[in-house]
Amino acid sequence: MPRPSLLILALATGLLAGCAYPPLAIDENEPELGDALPEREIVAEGLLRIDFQWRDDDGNWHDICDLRSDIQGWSTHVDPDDIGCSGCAEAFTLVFEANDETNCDFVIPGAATVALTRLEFFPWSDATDYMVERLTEHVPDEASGPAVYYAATDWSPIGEDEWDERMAVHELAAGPDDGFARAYHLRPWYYWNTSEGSAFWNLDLHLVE
Amino acid sequence: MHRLLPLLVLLAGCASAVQQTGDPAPNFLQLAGYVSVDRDAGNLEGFLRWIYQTDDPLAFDDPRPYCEVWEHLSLGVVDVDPACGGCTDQFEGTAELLGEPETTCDGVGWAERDFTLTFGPMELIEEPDRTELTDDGFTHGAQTRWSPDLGSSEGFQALFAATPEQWEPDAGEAGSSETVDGQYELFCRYYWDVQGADVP
Repeated sequence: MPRPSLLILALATGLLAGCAYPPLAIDENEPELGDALPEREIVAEGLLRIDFQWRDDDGNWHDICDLRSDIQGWSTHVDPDDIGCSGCAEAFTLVFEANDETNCDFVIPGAATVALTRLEFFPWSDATDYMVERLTEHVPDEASGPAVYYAATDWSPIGEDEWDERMAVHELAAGPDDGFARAYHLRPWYYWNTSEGSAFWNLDLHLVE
Repeated sequence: MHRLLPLLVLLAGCASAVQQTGDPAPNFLQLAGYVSVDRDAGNLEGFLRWIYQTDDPLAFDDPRPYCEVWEHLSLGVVDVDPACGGCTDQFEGTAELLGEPETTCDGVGWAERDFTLTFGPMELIEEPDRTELTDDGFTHGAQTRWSPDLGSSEGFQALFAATPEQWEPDAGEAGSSETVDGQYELFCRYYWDVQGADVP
């Protein structure tokens, strides 16, 4: 198979873009293919929901818009020290793409990492009564029961953020989609005030294993 | 352990000598990139290189190449998106297909597309990859809003690690860990098994 000539490449590029790049010989630029890290396998899919609202002087909430994003994700490693838990979490990197159900005229980019962790590792001594209620009693409409895990994440509707334990993880009442082994509903106990309004968010996550 | 070493060497030798079989085909895909950053001029120029191989690059020391696709990157500096946490520099522009002789895959007719690349510290990359790459001399994490498997996304992915390399001697120096200016090779942290996929 003929090798591309980087000299010709440079000339072609110069013609195309008005710039001149005569790179070094291709052998010197050959990527070290053997150093490749393992392929990325998509093991998580789901839906991110962010409802933007504003509150009037009487304390009543009003809808601004709904942002819905499809999720794709893969297994990832997180530093246990970052999430305050030693070797107890399975973590996923999630990327978002707004779907047709979105009626906001803006998007919120960003990739989230979420780490699902057993409740026994939760820092209960630092928890407020509200957090305890969210983790032990509350059952969202989308869930089949109280939280089975909690999740730490480095993401919020204001973008990437410090790692924090901020979500209860419930089994999804609807169960996993076809081709997935389990499904969870993740719901934070905070909402975020953003430039677009107050953002209430949650997500469903379907995992292949 | 000393007695085991020769055996391990022999085994490793046997493993690398396994016959590569099967017809040439675009079974595996890797990406590489070469970029030159001039922050003062507000631009990033370079190339994105798609490398299709017959053999699994992790299973063979010398995977058989199948064909390549090259795109020319012409990006300009923009404000860093706040959602790209930790990113220090962001560039947006286009990726434009290069024809023969650089692109050797047949029937490639890709349209020009939007492309975003951000630079930031190695902390953009998770452990343990970060330590491994830092030990190998990589200085920056580089993120995109695109990948071959996910397509375009709103989220930034730490797809590449960048290492200073003067791949074009007349267009400035190699980059460094101190600044984003200079020339870099982009190492893609992933590769893809594309057997059965619609590829060139």
